[in-house]
Amino acid sequence: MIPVTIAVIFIVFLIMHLTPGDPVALLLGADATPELIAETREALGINDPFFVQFGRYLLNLCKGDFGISWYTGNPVSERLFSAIPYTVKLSLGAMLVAILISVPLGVIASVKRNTIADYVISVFAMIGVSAPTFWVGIMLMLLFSLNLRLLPSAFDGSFASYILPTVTQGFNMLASIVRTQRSSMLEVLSSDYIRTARAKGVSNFSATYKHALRNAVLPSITVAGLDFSLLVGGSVAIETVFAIPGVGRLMIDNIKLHDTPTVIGCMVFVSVMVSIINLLVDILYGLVDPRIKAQYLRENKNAGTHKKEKRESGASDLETV
Amino acid sequence: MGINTNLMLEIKDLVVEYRTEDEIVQAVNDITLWIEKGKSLGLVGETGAGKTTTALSILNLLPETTGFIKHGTITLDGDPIIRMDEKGNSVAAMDDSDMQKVRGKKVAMIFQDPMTALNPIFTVGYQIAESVKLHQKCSSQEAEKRAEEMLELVGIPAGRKDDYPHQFSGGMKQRVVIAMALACNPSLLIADEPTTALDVTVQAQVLEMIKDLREKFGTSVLMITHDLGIIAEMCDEVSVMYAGSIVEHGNLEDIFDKTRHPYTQGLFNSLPNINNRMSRLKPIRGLTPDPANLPMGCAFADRCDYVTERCRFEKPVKKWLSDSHFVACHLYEDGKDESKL
Amino acid sequence: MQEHIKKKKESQARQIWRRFKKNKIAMAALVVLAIIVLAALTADLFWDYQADACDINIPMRLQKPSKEHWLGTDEMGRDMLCRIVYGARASLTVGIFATTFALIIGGALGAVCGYYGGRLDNIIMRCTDVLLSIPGLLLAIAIMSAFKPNIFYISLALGISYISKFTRIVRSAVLTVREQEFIEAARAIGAKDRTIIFKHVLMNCMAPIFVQYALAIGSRILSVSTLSYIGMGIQSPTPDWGNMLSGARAFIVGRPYLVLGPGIALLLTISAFNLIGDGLRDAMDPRLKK
Repeated sequence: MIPVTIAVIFIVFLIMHLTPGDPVALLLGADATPELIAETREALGINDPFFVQFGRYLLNLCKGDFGISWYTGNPVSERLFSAIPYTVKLSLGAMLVAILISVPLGVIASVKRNTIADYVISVFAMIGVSAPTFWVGIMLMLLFSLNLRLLPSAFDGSFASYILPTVTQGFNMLASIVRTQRSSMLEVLSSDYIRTARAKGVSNFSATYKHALRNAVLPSITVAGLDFSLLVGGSVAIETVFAIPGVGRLMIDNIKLHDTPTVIGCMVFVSVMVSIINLLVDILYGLVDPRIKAQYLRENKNAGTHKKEKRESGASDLETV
Repeated sequence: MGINTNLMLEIKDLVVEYRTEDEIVQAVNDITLWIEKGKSLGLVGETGAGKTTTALSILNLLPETTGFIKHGTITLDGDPIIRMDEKGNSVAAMDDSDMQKVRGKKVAMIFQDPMTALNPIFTVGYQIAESVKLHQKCSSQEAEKRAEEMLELVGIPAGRKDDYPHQFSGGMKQRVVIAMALACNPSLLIADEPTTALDVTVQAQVLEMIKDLREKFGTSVLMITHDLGIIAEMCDEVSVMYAGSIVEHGNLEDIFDKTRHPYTQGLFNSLPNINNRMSRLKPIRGLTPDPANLPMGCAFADRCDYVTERCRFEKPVKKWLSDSHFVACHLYEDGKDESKL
Repeated sequence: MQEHIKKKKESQARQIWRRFKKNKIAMAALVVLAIIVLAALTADLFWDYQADACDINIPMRLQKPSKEHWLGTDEMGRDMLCRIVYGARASLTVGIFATTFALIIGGALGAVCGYYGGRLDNIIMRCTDVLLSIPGLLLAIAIMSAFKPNIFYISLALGISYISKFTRIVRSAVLTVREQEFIEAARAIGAKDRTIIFKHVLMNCMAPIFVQYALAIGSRILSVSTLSYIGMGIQSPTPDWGNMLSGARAFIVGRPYLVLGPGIALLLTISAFNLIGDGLRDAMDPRLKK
């Protein structure tokens, strides 16, 4: 997790470093004197070589210091911490909505395969992956806030104002879980051990919901974890549509302003959050699957490789954003 | 044969098809077989001959969307599981809930691949106890007790009941599967190549165990295999299956000493002879015919050394050579029971 | 016997096509996509790109749908239908460029990883792990901040975030082929393994690559629209569905049809690619179809 975060910081640092134009000149405006610009550059440490800047940033980060925003002059951590709650609430809520709706839908689609229900669910899922989240957001807002007037259209941090963005984002993620759940359920239902179970007299119902479901939910957990990274990426668009002052919004605004410390701070937060979610997914996986649990307990090298295989096989083919 | 109340299982004129989008495959083609109570029948044939399909038909566990019983009757201990009339309409069939009472209790099945036959997320003890609880009115504790007994019976310490399938080796898993199958004292045990996926030394152990248990409980056995050695070891009677049909049937002596059908002969010639190691193997030439496109005449005609013009256009019919022995081959239709091979 | 097998191989593509044709939904998607592509290619016959799709015409702004302007006009007085059709150009171009770029780079990396293995494989796979841990869209946004927002750089930025996917597909195809016994066998009879591996890898990863290619184009189009929507992608006046939606966003109260057109165009195009990808997968691997 830490090496990945460092690598992420490195990449973002590099990109921001390559950005043409003088951020300081941009910051100070057209009427800044060359002396002032040079002075500010020195003060911000922009004149140092790339690796010196990078090393200094890492050192400060270890102390919990995200640096000072070039644009506002406030500590980046301050800006970041005011934005984080919105993004965390939004993405976790969206993930919850997606899982709670999509797993049952996927199961229904697989059990009633090739019926109307299955087709309706698959059309629903197809719209979910194919429709841009920001457009879905606009359409839902149009319907529920402006026409039906059920929900607020302006974001004010209240529970009601979270509903539309959460559902919008969940809808996008829902699709890939439904599809994964359906196909893994079909696969499990035709597996040898389900046949064994039925051969010993287990009813269809119990074979489906007791024997198959827990096995079939594993790939969905993986997909949900992997998609979380997409979800965080997508939050940029959602936060723009609904004017939510979250991390995504903060990042976009400050990229346009060339406020490097703030942008990097946002990226660090996002990559840490994605890593934490993936860790949680692994733990959850272990709880459901005794094979993985055993591997963790043994703490041998295989754990790593298994995890990777699992990801590769479980990864959804349909990606959004 | 006539009506025999002593039959554990009777399959008559069974036809099973697999339908995919592209083609219809005749997996089982009008077969008839029976097992007397307490006896064991070996069903021998190459991969793809329709052995497993036959077994799954007995339990009505053919893949729901693709496998269909077209025709025939299956009678289990006097009760019809499936009975179809001439036109292929179901006349009598057990419904799902009746079938669930049959599965595991009257008929139990051991599957070919123990590696995938157990549910990875339940302990082996639980999986055995589940079967007990389904069929016997007893408490969870009693069922668990029974599971422990069964584990001991198949040679696994009862203390391992809380282990998961991935903690067992292939041979051990097969023992668990067998324990699960026998937990409710079934009257008929279907063993579908129970040892194919196992090491040779483990094979012997597993077979020995099935044999012991069979003697102990008087279970009838349908042993599906492609290994004639296992048949000689385990069975009273043998049906030889080729491309969905039974080409020869008899008791051990009939099949092993009075081999009649050229295919059965070929199976024996394909085995190395331990008494004469210098003798050359004589494999059967060619491949099994495409089951989606069976020839008009005898399915074995293309590979048979004794093929005649008639074989290619006319299906051979069953010819009884003795009370216990029949063969389906044009070579024997003149009525004389003497080997032509 | 030999001839029989060969014949089967040759007709594989035809077989896939035959199965694909049976899939009504996938065929419908193909037709829809063909219409969209055709419209994008022949747009010049009906409109003048500069005058109709780009030039500002304030007196005509926000016209309701009429005979002249079937879908009305936008906030700059430009015909919506015309801009939607021209918007297909930008989306399709970026989608195809970005995906092809990702395929070439990712494919080459994956082949190297799978073929040489060892430390090199490890290093490259670590890098793809890092790339995967950054949300693709955020990476693209960061890259776009360093470059001019033109179609070339947008394709590049969106392609980079998709490289890892192709690397993995090709790598696992190479590994599967390497581990297969017929490679051992071919080596045993003295064939050069480089040629064998190349040939079989190509055969083996064709199916997943085709499928992924279709899906990736859909996903890239989705991303470019998002980029444009937040102002980091294709810039107005060049018509793009994303920036059109961004412009129409302010007028949804009185003129909801303005957000409907580009949105439906996006939905249709992306789902067409997704459905074609799904159809291809079903056609190539009939086992998966239940």
